[in-house]
Amino acid sequence: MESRGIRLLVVLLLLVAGATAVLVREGRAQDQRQAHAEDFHRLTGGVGFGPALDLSGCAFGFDPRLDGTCAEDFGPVPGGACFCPRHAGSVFFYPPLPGEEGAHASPP
Amino acid sequence: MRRLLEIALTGLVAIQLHPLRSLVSFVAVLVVLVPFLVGVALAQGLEADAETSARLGADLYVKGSQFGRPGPLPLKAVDAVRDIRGVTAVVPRIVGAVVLGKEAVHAVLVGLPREHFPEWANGVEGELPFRGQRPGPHELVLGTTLARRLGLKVGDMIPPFYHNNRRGDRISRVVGIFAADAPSWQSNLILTTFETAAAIFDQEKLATDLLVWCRQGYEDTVSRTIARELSFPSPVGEGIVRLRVTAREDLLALLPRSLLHREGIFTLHFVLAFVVGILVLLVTSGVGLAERRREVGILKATGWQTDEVLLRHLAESFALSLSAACAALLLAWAWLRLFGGYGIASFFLAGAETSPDFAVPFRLTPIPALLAFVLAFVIVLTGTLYSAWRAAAVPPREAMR
Amino acid sequence: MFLETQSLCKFYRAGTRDEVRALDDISVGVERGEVLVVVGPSGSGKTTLLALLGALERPTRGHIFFEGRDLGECSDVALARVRRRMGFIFQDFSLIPDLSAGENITYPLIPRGVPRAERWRRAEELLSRFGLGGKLTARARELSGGEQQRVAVARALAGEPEVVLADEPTSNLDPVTGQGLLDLLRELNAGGTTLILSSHDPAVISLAGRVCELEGGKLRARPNQ
Ligand SMILES: Nc1ncnc2c1ncn2[C@@H]1O[C@H](COP(=O)(O)OP(=O)(O)OP(=O)(O)O)[C@@H](O)[C@H]1O
Ligand SMILES: [Mg+2]
Repeated sequence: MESRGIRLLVVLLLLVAGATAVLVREGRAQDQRQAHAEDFHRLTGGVGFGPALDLSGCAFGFDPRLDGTCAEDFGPVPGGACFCPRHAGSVFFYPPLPGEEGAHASPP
Repeated sequence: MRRLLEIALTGLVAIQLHPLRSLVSFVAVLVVLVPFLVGVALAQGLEADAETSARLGADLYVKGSQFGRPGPLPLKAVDAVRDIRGVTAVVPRIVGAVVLGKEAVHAVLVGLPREHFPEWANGVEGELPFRGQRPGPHELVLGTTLARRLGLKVGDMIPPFYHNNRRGDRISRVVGIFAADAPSWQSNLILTTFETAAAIFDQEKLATDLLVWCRQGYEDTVSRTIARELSFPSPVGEGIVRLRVTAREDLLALLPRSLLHREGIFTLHFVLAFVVGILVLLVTSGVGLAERRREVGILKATGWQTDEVLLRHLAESFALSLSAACAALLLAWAWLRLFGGYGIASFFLAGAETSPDFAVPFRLTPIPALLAFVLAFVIVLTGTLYSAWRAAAVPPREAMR
Repeated sequence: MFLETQSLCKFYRAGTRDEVRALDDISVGVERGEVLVVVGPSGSGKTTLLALLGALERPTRGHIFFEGRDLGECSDVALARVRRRMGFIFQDFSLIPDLSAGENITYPLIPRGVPRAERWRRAEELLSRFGLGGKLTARARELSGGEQQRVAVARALAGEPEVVLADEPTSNLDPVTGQGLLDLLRELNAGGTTLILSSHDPAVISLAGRVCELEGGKLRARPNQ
């Protein structure tokens, strides 16, 4: 029967509704996360920026405020870009701070 | 219009006519889209957290510089910077790396002056280091991963984990643990007072950086003044320490501007994988190709026009890719929200464990979702429409053979 | 002539060493409301001729005229319009195996813009007429050969065609059902529908106004008047 098509249409609409609900819900969830983020940065004075979770690999990947450059920058690799071998595989990549591209940047 | 809708509806039936083929396309789209959506969501979450970090941090960060490399600066700099016109507050900070326990857990130790701490904060379970002077053990607030790996709870004592020959080693007490949904950098963090940090690192009268707040509009002049005019004798006794400033704008300028900017590399690689993967799958495997060709021939022989046959396939591809994209979004969400990014978070967050015990930063936004759908649609379409067109453009009996 | 061919040729793999001359210089025609029966031994080109008359294939050489219009020069869309005025009953039935009998009958009506309720009314009516009233939702692949043939006939007739082209329509039917189908065809013809049939069945040939005999792709005798 043609009701097969209708049945699939219903499934399709349910999936779309589910996906929309997730997008809306996640949009809202950001607000609460923001509140805790505010507390955290007020307490620490602003710590963390990159995809590293500690200083064992490279400080630049943790927070460029601590070290403005990474000496072993790998640049783009397939599937993303990374800072150095110890912090590979990240899609969140940023360049060195201006004026600190090299390890021996001239003093200001 | 009704006629077109009814033709489109036969496209939905067509999905069920070739269940294996539909399943293969659906699964192929899922396999590519779920990691794509998870990756982009994590990247965007991280990026949003980075932006928050820059915005909520100090206006300027000042660190020492010798031989063009970052280094600590003497505490004397605090007063010198505070005297610059336009500066409203200066707070010295120590940020350093420590290794704890038999397992050699890497931690980031952050020390700030006692007065800096409020009495209570939302993002911490337990207390903060005491604001006033209080004898007794060092007071530490730990990150969630650290607390779990070291098996510590609020109130636990830690035997001395450092050596300070001048002042002696002291035990420490865990006064608080960060909330799991604070930014992910809390996971390996130890927050404590400036004196405790100085004692743990055995570095007197030094800070790793200064947090500087300025009156609005003064950031540029203040940072220029600091960089040009201030320098201090090196703490080791020889040479001088210059100061280097990182402004909030410098940090914000590092952020990729949009999904298609720097993560564009990532997206591009995925598009390529996508195109190659699914085209190979659909075109070369040719699941049910002969059967579909015959079907097109029959439809045309019974009076369907080529464009009507193509509309049917268009509807089929649309429905298939829309459902696959939505399912991929739901799966990506479940992976990140319900299973905490199990297995994948460690790819994107260096130092995260397979099963992270903090809220993985992610953002599922409509644009990547839309992009995912468009990708799925384009690929499924090129895979199906070409063969459909080939069958529909020849006389019906040829297609029916 | 309503539908006619002039020096029609259909060669498969034309120009190669194993060229097949399925039809060679065929000129036949039917007037509106007539019955043309194509006879001939197996492999003589009956199916090929019907397919060409039904606008399902393009000729290698020669012309097919439908109401004076040369089908060889028609666009794809125009050919689809011509096919909508015809009903083709295939020798191998050519049903879509995973669709139900009812869907097989109603699908050709969708692009014609026949409303859903009307489509299904026609399908039910035709099926019950052929004694398949209970098979509306049965999948085509689950039907017997004779049942499939009747569904194929119902599909061809559901569009209320002006011309019915039937390629050996009774070959899979028992004498009683076959006779029922012939009665129906006769009734349609009485209503003005043009019939083009191919068959070995003397009962079918008895319907004929014209008989066209093929052998090895060539006309054996002039159609008798
Ligand atoms: N696609 C094709 N490619 C090559 N040869 C073909 C093709 N289709 C048909 N033929 C050949 O054309 C000739 C005529 O075939 P056709 O199907 O028209 O015969 P027929 O009279 O319908 O036979 P039957 O009574 O067995 O159905 C046959 O010799 C057949 O082998
Ligand atoms: Mg035949």
